Amino acid sequence: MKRMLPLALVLVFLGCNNFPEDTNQRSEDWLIARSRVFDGGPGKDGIPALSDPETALVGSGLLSYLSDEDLVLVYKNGDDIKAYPHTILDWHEIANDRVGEDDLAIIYCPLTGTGLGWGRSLNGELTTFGVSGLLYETNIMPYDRLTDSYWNQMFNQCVNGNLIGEVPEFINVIQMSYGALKTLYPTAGVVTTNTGFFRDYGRYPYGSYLTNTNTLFPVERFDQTIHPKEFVRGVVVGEESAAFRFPETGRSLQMEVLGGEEVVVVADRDNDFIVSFLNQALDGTDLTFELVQDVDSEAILSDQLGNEWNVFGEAITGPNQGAQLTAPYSYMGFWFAWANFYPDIRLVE
Amino acid sequence: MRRLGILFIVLLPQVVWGQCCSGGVPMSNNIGLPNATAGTFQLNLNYDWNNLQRLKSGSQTLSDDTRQRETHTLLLESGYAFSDQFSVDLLVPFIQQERTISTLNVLDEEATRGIGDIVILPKYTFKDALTIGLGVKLPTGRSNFLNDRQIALPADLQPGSGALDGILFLAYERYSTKRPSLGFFANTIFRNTGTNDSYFASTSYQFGNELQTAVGVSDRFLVFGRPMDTSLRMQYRKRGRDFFEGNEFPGSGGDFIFINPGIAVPFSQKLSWQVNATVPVYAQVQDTQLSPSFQLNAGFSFKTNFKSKNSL
Repeated sequence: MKRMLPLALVLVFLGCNNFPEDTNQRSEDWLIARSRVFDGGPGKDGIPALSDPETALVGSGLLSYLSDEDLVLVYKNGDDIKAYPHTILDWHEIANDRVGEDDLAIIYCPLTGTGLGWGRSLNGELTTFGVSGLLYETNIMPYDRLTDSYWNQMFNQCVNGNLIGEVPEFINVIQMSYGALKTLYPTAGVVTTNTGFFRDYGRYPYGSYLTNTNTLFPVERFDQTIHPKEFVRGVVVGEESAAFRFPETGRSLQMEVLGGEEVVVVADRDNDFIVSFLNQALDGTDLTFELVQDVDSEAILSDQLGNEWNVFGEAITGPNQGAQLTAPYSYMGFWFAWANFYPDIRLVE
Repeated sequence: MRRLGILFIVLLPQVVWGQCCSGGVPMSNNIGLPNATAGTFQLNLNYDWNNLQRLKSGSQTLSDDTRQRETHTLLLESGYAFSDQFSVDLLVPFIQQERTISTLNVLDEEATRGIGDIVILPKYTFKDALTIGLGVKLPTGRSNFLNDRQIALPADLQPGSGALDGILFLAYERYSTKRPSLGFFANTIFRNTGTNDSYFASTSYQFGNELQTAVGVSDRFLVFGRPMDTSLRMQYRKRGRDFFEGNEFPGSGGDFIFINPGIAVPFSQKLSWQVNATVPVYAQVQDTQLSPSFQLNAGFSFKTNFKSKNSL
């Protein structure tokens, strides 16, 4: 009997596996180069996305983990304003939420610095997004829990699975400092650390990544024209794209024509935001914008009609109060990521 | 003869402790059979189960039970002593790597299985006390498994590292003159890792260098009239960061301290059975990563001498 034990041990070992079959035909079609997709290590949902995260009013003691310099992604829907700190998103990358009547997912990739919103309604059904654990060109690949299809944030498309080719509803979010949020939107709700997960939110999980000149996963093109991790706002209109930088100091206003459309860009060094709008006629009148220099004012632009506009493109005072400027497809991200995904991008100083 | 028996007792526990699920198992502390007299052939067969589910950020343990990594390894180690001083060990692992993520909505499992990286370790012993070995870990294990979406699985989930590593092995032991079965030992193993230049899409991956040092004590007792060899070891392990395409890979590298209690029961002069546990007592990891929770290793050791029937 004793002599049988080694054999039994071997048999137990060989039998105790659940080795997967390599046959999933549905999953073999990709819109992106599969060889550029890497498993980041933690695995699917190894980085847990948030769902309906708890928020607290700006300035609350529950937000003492934030400093004024910390960056937040802000979404405004009417009077409902919610902010999602990088400090939280560094650990969760996705927040599935409802703001007002809007069901959205905030998607943030710590490796490309890119943050935007996607609608959570897919073909009429509501879903949530999770972190697949895969990266394409070192950029997050969410998956939807409705169909288990895989998406890519910067490619802005479903790239694998049943919904392959589908484009998510793009939702414009504004990145700014928590200090700016406190000043400009004191009624905003901010995600707290009571996320349901125990994480070391006071600790940046990627070491010196924000300041060094490396990527964690290979990228096709690594442009270092400026510091690769510098935050820029990339704007895409039609076939043209541009990346807008912060001014050295203060606030700046830039106008650029992209894809035949005039794009208005306001960059504010003090408040850490860059926003962009399409300059479309309002009631048949072409608008001429001027910068509002008071950095503590919610208004950032004024026009010749007497309107004042905020970072979300809303007319907050004036004859057209309530009007909304259209945001192009644009969001903040590291320069190297924009330059990689959009090789023809123009860097606007 | 008595002296060799003690050596066997002292060094046996060092043979069978697996460690972390770093690519290209076996880990360093699986390396190194006990010293033996000329003509001795040794064969060990061990099963090693390594469980990682403690999520650490630095030295802080995060309350998270959604992730688990397991490595099942069947270790076949053989060695032959060409003289009383010189011997060569050969270690062949067969590995199954598993990663499980379980959340409310999803159970995600990935696994790979196959032969791992084979280790060849020539050793030389000075004055029956100090053993020095210089060996290599050959890239025999497969390192290009894909998941069901045909995406490359991460390097540490592959059975092989795809790289040629150099290994330095040092071991030293002393035993009590008053109680000959009482032994003290120390060993150090350094693994200088090579680079896998043919990781997916012509990318390169290099596991971090690894230093492991241990001190311990062992003794033999009679339990119900049968001899039982016991050991207790404290082990320090330092692992450098991995590099992916020359860049530091997140969630790799760290410092660890373990204690390893173990027992071995000889059935005869040739055959024994042993079981060991590895319990982490301290971990300071880089970034955030799973760190070892528990490890169990059990198996059989067989040895015989082709030159002298009495030498064992």
